[in-house]
Amino acid sequence: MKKRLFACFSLLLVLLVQTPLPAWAGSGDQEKPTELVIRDATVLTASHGTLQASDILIKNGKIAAVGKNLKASPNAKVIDAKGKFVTPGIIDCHSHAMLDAVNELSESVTSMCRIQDVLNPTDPTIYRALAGGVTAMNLLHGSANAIGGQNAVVKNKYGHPVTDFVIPDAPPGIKFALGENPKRSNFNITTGPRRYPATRMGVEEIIREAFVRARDYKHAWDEYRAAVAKGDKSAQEPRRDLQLEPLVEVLEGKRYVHSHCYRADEILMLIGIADEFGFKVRTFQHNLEGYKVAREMAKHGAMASVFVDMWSYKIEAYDAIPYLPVLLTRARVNVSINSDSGERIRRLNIDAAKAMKYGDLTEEEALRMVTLNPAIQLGIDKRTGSIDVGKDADLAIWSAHPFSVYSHCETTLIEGEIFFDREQDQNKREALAKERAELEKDESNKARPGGPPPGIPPRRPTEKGDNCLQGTEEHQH
Amino acid sequence: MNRRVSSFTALLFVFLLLVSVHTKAQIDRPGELMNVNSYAITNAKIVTAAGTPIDKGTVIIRDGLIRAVGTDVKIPSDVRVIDGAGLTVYPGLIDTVTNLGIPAQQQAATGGRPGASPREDFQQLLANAGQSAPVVKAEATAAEQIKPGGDQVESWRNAGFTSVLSIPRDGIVLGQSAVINLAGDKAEDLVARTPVALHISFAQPRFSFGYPNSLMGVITVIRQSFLDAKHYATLQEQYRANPRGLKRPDFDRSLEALLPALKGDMPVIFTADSEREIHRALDIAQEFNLKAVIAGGSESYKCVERLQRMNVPVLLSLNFPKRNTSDNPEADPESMEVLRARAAAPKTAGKLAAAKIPFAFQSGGMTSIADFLANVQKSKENGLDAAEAVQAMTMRAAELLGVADRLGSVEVGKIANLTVLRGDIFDSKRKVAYVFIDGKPVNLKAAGSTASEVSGKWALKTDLGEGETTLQVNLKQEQGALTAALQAKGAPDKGQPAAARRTDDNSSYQVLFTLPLTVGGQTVEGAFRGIVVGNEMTGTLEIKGRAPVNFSGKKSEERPAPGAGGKPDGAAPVDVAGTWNLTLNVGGQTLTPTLVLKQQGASVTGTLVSQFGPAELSEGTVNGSTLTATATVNVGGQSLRISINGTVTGNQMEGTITSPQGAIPFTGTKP
Repeated sequence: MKKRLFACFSLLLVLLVQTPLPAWAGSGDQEKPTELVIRDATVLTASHGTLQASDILIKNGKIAAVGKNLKASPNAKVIDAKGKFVTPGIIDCHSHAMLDAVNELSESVTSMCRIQDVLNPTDPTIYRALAGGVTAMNLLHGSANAIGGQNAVVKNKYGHPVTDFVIPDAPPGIKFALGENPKRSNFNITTGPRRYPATRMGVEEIIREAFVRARDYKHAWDEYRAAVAKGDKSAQEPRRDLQLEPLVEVLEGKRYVHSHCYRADEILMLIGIADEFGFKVRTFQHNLEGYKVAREMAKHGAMASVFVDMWSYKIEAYDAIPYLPVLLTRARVNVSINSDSGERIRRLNIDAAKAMKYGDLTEEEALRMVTLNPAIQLGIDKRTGSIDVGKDADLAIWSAHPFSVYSHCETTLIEGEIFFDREQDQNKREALAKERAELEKDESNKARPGGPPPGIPPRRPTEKGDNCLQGTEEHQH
Repeated sequence: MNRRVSSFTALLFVFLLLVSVHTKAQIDRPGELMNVNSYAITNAKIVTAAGTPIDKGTVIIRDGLIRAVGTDVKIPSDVRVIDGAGLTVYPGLIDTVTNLGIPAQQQAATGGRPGASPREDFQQLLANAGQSAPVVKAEATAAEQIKPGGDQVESWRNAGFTSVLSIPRDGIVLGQSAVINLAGDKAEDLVARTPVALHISFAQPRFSFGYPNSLMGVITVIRQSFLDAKHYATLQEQYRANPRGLKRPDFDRSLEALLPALKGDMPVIFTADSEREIHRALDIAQEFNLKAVIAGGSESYKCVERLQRMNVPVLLSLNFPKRNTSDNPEADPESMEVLRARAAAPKTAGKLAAAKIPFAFQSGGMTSIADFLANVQKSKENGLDAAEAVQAMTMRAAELLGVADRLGSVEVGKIANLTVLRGDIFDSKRKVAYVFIDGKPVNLKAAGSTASEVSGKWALKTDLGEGETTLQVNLKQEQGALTAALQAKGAPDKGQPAAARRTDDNSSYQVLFTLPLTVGGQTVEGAFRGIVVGNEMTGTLEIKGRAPVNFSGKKSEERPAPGAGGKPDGAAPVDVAGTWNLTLNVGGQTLTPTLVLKQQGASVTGTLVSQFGPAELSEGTVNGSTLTATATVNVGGQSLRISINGTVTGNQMEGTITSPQGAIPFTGTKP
């Protein structure tokens, strides 16, 4: 019941935060000010506590100073944030927003596929995420395959060309998936023969087999390069294999593994394979039973990106507890809270607040789970994730404490540029309504007679549990 | 008196003129010119597409080539002269992206039997999933697949097209295209240039269960293919230089076929419409240093800067998005994206021209080729210069397809592909008068000729075991579909669906229809499978539980009135003026509205008077015996836009009234 009420509430929110689409991507409608100062706010730094009545000075998109009564040049744009709260921009470590394709469902090892090839910079989910203070996302391939595609780490620069979204110095990553989804327990794509693997044993085997192939591939290239270096003219260049190249990067520690998982045994299994081939699992995603193997995860150096209170949507998701974030944190595992959903992405601040409710996390520990911790997990903490001098000015300004259900995000900045502002949003709606009225008057948009009679209108899409199994639009975890 | 004489003389003069024009038209009918090799079109306006148009000039065609063009051209004595007064000669129109002449895949590969339910279709696909065609087939060439003839080619010719770029169907790397001329008996006669370009599509193979089945996979397949081709070239090169001590690399015709594209010798045409698709295509082009062309390009105006920088031309689709029916009032409002796309479509060509991005038009899979020139017209109204528009269907198209040396303009030495119009190309009342392909006039037939060739009243003789009987069968076109009805007492007037198909060799038509027959006092269904050659039909008749029997028969000379579309050069409009009493049945209720028509030539005005009050007619026209008009009727406070489509025979009319709720047949009489 509670869940349903909540769903109604979120639908209402979706309706309220309508999404002005950009005239076309590539034309940011904001002049980016070179200097900007946010005055008199309660600043939740996520790295060094909460500062009362403080200013944040932004120069050329970077945080230049944080403190009281900061001096700014007379030309600086001023945002009066008296009585308001500023947090670092929220980072979602697991999202499938802005993707024209989520799963390459055919093979069990699709490391050759790249999320960066299928980005849609006009997806309204980006704007909705901005309205929830989200400034960066880890865009992952779905969980249909034991080894999925390569990820993309982006900033939500809605209205900019797609090339502006991708964070250039974010280390590359790749999606793995364990358990029911890659072994296809709950669905079948074809009515033909089942795809291998169909068991957890098979998932383990196919990952190991892929790394054996990757090791051989790396060996072939190493030998070839050595031969060329020796001046051997008869050395024949090996074929470049887009499937194995990213796995070689994993072996070389150049590419992060973000593995979807649920059960404790499969988490240990992947740590085992990683130890065998000498690589590290960067994050375990979902990780619902992670509290059972928190020490082993900490020992391996793996981090965790989890839900706070979402479970029981399938058998492997039954043994979850809301104390997962705190138990992992106390075991010295870096924890982030992710959305894996175009709907929850708008209120990750509330998910962080829930983590505080269960267990004894401090306010800053909870805030870090949606800011600094995901930044660390994605290797972008040098530039974002907390309010510190020298970092990108990725900030969210809230009407009240972000952990209050009565709070909403008023302004979202990325690198000092305003990408969402509640007031401007109102103005944009008027302009949009005007544009719509004009477009509807256009001859091309008028209904013409003939053709079949009008059908039953499509229903609004409903929110489902698990998002990782979608092909393009349908979601599942 | 004097006055009377002079008016009589004038009348006589007009009469004589009419007769002479008439007989001349008879002589000049293209069908009767088939064996002549040389023509002169005189006194015509000539839009050469290479320099300024000639207001009144002559074009001489001999042995398939243009031999002379100009105002001061001597007409040789052995040519057939066509008086071009009132005509405009254009270079033959070129459609730069089609599958014309390329047979569709075997049914097994694309779906089940015709008319199968989606579920059956899907099951069939599953059964064939293992044998699906390869997605990378760079080695496939249109030139090897082309088959001459077919209804589609004919409708393109009727619309004034003489050449198209034809592309192999299905796949990701589709293969290599060819420019073909749209006339010729043998496949070899058609090809004007091959290969033209390598074609790549991001479309996922339909119902593909193998790799790839996502856009990510499709892009990866393309990148891996080019990487493999590069690798192949490296190994082959190394082996050629010094084979000793080297493992001989395998020959691979598919990778071999990618090499010209990698070397920049062959353009790569990417099918890409949205801004994102275009950027994806250009990313690949950049990565492998390909000479890219964008086909489709509906959002190309959003990528102008990059297209300019990378020097990428566009084969712009004229298949504009359009809204067909009114929506259900309960439906969500249409998205801004959809509304913007419809409004933007006619402006794209003008924007590309302004940005100096070379572009040519293509049909983009439109269902009715008539939309092509209509949408060129819309582009012209939305900022495209008229001369640019003509270029984009002729010379610019030829340049982009690498055939500017032989096609695309009315110049001496070029292939004599000409489109001769009565009226300007941008005049909606223009008619295609002649189409010359390879120097020969093409027999222009009405669109949808298959149905009109077989329709008519047939007397079919057969023996159902009760002695020979003759069945009077009426095959006719009703609401765009062929129907069959038995003309007998007590037989239903409403026809049953029938199908006709031109055979591959063009010599005959296959016809399928079923009729209720009375055999031994029982009504049974008889299935007719016939072959129509000219006015004769032969075939077999099957009745369930009986052995098939033969039937044969002839069509009576009387031809049904031509349907909408008419003959290319326009049939004279019949007289429809007056008051028509209509009868139609809506939901069991008989309505008798009145149609009051005034006529001026082909244009019709008037009112439709019904119980809902009078409604003014608009867009009323008569084409031959076909009347079309629209009206907005106020029904219970709601405006309903209806269209009237009727066929007039004397003082009888029958047809349909179409509203957003569907089509209702009506009959009418004029007292």
